[in-house]
Amino acid sequence: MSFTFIASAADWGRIAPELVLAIFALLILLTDLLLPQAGKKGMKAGDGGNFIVLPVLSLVGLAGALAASIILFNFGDYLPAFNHMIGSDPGTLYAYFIILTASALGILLSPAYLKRLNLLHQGEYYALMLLGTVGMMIMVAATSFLTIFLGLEMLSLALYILCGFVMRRATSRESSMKYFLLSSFASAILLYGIALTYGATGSTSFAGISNYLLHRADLLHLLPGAHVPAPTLLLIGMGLLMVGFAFKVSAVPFQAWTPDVYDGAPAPVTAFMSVGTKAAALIAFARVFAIVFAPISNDWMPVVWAITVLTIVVGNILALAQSNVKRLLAYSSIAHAGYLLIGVVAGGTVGLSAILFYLFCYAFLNLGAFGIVSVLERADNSGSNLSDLRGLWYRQPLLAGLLAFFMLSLAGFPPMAGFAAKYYIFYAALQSGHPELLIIGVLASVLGMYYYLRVIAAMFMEKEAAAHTAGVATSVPTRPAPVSGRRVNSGKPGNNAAATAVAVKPPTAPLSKEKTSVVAEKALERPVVIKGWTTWAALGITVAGTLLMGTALAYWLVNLAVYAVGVMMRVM
Amino acid sequence: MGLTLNHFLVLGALLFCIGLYGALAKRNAIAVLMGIEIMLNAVNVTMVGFSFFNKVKPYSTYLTGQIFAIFIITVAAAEAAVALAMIISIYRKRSTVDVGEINMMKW
Amino acid sequence: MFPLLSLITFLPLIGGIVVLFLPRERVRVIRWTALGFAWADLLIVLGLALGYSQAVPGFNATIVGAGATAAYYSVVHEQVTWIATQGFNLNYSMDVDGISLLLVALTSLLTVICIGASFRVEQKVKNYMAFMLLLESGILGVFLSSNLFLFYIFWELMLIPAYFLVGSWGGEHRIYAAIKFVLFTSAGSLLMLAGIIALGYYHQKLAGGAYTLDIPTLLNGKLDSTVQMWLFLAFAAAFAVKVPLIPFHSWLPDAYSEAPAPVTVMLAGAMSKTGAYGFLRFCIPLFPDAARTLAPLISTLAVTGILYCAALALAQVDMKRLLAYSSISHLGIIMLGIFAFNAQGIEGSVMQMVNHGVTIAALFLIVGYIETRTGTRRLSDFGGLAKRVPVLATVMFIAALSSLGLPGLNSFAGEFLVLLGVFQSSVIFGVLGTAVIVPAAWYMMRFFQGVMQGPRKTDGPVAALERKNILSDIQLGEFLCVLPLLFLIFYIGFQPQPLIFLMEPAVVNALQHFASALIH
Repeated sequence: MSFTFIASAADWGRIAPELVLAIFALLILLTDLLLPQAGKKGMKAGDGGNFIVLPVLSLVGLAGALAASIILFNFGDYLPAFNHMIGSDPGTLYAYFIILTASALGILLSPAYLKRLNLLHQGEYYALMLLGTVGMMIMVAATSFLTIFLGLEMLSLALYILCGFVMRRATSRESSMKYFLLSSFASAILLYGIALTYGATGSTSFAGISNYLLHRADLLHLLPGAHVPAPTLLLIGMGLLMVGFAFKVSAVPFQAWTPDVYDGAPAPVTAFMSVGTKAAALIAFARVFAIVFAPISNDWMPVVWAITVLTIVVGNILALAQSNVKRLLAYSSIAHAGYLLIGVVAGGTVGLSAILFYLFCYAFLNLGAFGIVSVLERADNSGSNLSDLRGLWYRQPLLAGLLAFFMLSLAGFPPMAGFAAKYYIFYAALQSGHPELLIIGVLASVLGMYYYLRVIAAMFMEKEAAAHTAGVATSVPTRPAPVSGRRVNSGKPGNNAAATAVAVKPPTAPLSKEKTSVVAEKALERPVVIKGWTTWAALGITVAGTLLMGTALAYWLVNLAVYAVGVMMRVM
Repeated sequence: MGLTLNHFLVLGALLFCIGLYGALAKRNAIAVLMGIEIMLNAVNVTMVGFSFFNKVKPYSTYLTGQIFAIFIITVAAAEAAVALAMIISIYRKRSTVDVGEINMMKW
Repeated sequence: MFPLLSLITFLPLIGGIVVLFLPRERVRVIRWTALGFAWADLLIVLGLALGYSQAVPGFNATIVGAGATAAYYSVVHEQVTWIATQGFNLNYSMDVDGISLLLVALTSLLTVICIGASFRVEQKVKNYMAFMLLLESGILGVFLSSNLFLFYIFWELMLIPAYFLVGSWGGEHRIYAAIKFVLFTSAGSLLMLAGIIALGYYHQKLAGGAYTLDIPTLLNGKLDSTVQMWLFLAFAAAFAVKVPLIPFHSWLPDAYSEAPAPVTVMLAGAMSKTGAYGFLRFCIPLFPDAARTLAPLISTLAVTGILYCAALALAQVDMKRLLAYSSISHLGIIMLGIFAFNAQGIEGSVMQMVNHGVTIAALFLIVGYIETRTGTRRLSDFGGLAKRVPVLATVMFIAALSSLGLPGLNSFAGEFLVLLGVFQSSVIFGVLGTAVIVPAAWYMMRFFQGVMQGPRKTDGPVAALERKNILSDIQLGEFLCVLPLLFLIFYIGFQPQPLIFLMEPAVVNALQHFASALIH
């Protein structure tokens, strides 16, 4: 038996977007070495710390990848590359657009955040962001379980580190740890599922598997079209795959890690991964189940249906109890994963294009919302509690207005993108004969209304606590911004003795070791302002995207998605 | 009688269950990590077994399982490196690697 | 063709955006700009109404000839293809006919009045005015859109500013009231969304072709009765909450009493009409069989609401809550007329929508005036105010009489027509509906006499003000706000014919369509 492997030049062209990004990731690491550093890294905030070069470089890389994707979309041959390992069909490219958008917006949000939190390991940060993006792109492009695994691990490894990037923050370390343990656990389960599927079908490439599934009647010398029960091995494999994917898309009952990880991670990273990981995992999920395993959909459909309903209902219910916007958004992302899973249940061109469109819209909404959170967030991960937001409108009308805007669009108010996305995915549910999902989804959205609007109520309708009311009449409290050098926080109690003396408010964090630094942060806390042109750009893009995707662009994008999915299902 | 596919599968399943138990029941982060590594190795055994005794001849790609196993080994090494770095950093700050105690965030 | 209807709909929205960009400190400029935009919109609407009234007879002839399917005819029709593929065909289309024209005129008039009455608002004036204009835009869009997708967008668009207006500028329990209001309405409207998605889908399945939500196209399809029933219920959920019908009404007293007076006027005067309009314009023509089957149910709910809320109004101690319950009671009469399915009933209902909008607006404004003077709304705090504030008392007396349906004032003609229609279709509902006259007169007189007449209070906040002699009568600006409403109360009372002239062709067409669309 011969085993041929041919890698032509065209194959490299088909993965050009990933290549460009990977090259830029390496370039960033190199450039980081050459940039001047004032003081030792991580110890002191130098004035010479450069917060512009690297983000710009990564944005250039993303633009290059985007350009490559667009070229492939228009002029590519859509064929899978490297022996059916990785696809370059329009569905994949559409998913690239989503992931690149999420990544670009996440990177735009980063410089101001890194600067504010005094995080100086920028080279690693941006390189890991780009490599995580590459991982996500490989995962959505995968047409073989091997590639799915590689993409998955690539994105996970990058995100483990990014989640724990704020080393001095306990929640950040914890987030990274939890993410690692649960995610690699899920990966192992997924892998076992892959192994069993491989055993049952004799192949790890999707083409091979679907070939097996379509022709297994012939293999068993049965009449064509006869109902052949799927082999038990395959059923077990599918079950394990489902558990693994459900972990990755944070579907109930495997959602427990999501809030903790999202809460602890730095806000721009949360923003990026809440959309990027979800897109990657969901599209891979959809590709494996709704396309490859479509012939045996009777076997897996009830389980996915149950997961979908549970995710929608439980995600929304759990979000009701949250009092922190960041955690609330994490739970809401679980609920949105539920809505997205409707697309998997619906299947077919409509279902899959609904997933793609929803994710595209969701990228703008969610990054916008997390973008505001990243502006609000302080170094000790406080600042996004509902109590902190109380009366924000009177202090920061613009910030409050933007957050309200994103909350409303996440809640699905027209004419924003969230509405168009929901409309189309509910339509997909109905068209595939699942009116019950339409009704469940709609009723669960009422719960969604409640918690999104509660955030707005806190910002717009509750007046500030008495201690703060001095600043209400004039717009912004005019406390002088502290000198950046004094914000140094190495985690050693001694350095902050002067600062702790000022603070009278007892810290809420339970850890005595961190107490002093938390207090120091609170004492030196300054009014929340949107800083840096990149942040402005990110927020502007998300607002424009949210509005346009809901109105002018909605149908164009839906059509594009329908076309893309059509070709994707044909090429596979 | 020689080795059959079932031997591989049973070994793989046993290893997987041991790893699963370790990952779920152990409190020490290092032990959890080891559990996960055992699970990954269970997958390797299964993969290699399937690759060697592939039943579905016409569609088998003979080496896939073994190649896959090599990939898994590589990735597992990378994962272990990252995880150990993370555990060390937590240990430095907290002097503990008990996963039960790393629970600042709840609900 | 000039997009007149879009101009009417979006002019307030543009005004709102313009207001947002004005400097925060220039409060006077902000107020007058907002008022200017509202006035401009009102003038355009009046021009449209004038043109429409000239065109009606001619169109009437062609419509009768065109047959029942042309129920959705229009003088000014706008349609822009939003997207057209073989799968989806969604248009941006707007239409106006006699019914919607009247409600549009009412809405734009009330906006002018409310913005005028809101000159007292000191806090966050800019956002307040912007939200007010946005609210107008939403309500106008609901009345004018003839595509369900567009309709839904406006339907939700009107919710957002209302939420902010109630929640940010309201009274003590404003947050509770605002969230309750939004949850009730959005639960209903999300069910309607499910209904809209499903309606398009079933229509596509029935008629083939593209997925479309254009009302004229949808009106041609005859869905089978089970589907109709479910869809009717889904749509009715949204409308019944907005009207509100009886089991879905509990948000209303809270929202009306917590909102600042001008906002209450908008909610009660204009927004509550969208529910009744939805029943008339969407539920009945789209699902005629279901409407006929469920008419007894809806009528029962309406009658229960009429009597129950009239009784509740009697028991209220808060003036605003009293008016809120009376408002539910009056809207029940409108619903009863719509579901009588005859010309008198529907014409009376539409007329009553306008009348109720005018009357309840006047009453809420007056309560607002009283509240700003005394700082209280408790009926028991008041007594014998008429001596101090004679003009205000007179205005309030006229509005109260109008509300209880005195012949010669506006509400009489509408209620009379409705009851005439209801008696034709069902004597029981007719009798029960008529019975409300007794409690209505009772609570309105209790309201008026309790405040303006009777013995003066010797203690309490109002008495304290009287002792200090700082209780002033109605001011010129305040009076100018109520003046158009008073004029309409008298004008419609003496001369209801123009209203009927405007709406008659539309009503006749609706009925014709209804008769022909029933599956026999």
